[in-house]
Amino acid sequence: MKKDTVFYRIGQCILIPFILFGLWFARTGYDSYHSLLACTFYAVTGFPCPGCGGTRAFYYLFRGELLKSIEYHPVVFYGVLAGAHFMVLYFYRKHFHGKNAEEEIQIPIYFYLAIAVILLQWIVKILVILL
Amino acid sequence: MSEEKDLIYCPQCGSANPSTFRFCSNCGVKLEQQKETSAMQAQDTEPLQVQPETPVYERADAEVVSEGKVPLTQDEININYGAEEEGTYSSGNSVAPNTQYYSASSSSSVVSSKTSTGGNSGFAIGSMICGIISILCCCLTWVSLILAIAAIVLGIIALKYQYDGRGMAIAGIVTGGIGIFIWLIVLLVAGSGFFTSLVEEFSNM
Repeated sequence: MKKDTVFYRIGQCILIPFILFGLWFARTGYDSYHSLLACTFYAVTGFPCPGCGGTRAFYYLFRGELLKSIEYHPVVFYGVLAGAHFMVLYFYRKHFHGKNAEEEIQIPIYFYLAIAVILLQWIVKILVILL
Repeated sequence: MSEEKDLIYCPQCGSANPSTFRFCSNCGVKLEQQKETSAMQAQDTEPLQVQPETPVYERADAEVVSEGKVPLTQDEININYGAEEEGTYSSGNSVAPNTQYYSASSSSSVVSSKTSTGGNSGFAIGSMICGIISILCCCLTWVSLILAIAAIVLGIIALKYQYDGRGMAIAGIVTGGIGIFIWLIVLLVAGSGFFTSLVEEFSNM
């Protein structure tokens, strides 16, 4: 089975649970459990880690405040966009564009961009604190 | 009998070649001078038996082609199948469709010592995903460390056995390294802070 087919199947399986979890987390989960996710790196060094703000970004994403979500951690919004793009592209290629169905979607590109976004926003946050 | 008249026997290795050939398909020796004489001698002398399983052409990188087939250069192919063959083959393709320069059957022994295994891209994908999660979960220090180690191990395995996804394996190793680096910083700073407070406590006693 091709790699993009495997990821498509995984996406199909986790799509609805992901949405349901996000809605629950935004309504009740964050208020109850966000204190457990305090950043050790920030507590020790005073600088944010690469993942800092991810929980709040996820929270604001499912509350509909996209700008705040991007401000706290852009990779959360990027991940949702990338996942949606991949699912739509795969569906389109498979059902409407038979010629390109044999070509595999280059999934590593999504992950490379995610790594770039994570590292870039981390550097920006550190620079903002330093300056 | 008529078949023997249509064959040319190589003076060097003794293998039988079609009369239209100018070079031996086994050892590459020029056959033109032997065309007339070998046809006469074929009836009297027994052709040298060439064992098809004998490897006659051995590549430098340990690839062995058996069954007495030797890959010819393109010039030799063009000469062997010259103007008289144009009616049979297309002008751009001088290779006979039933001529096998490489034996593709299961009995051929093609051995390469540097063949990459390929496949198994799961290691590279797993390495990269573990690496990304390890740097996102720096808040959970020990979880981040375990994932970073897993990312590095999986990436090294993928690179060592030449599995698919070399770029992903490298990305996994790099992100795993960043995760371990962050964990070390937390350990050093927290450890130094703990040590400092311990010294102060003893000094106040």
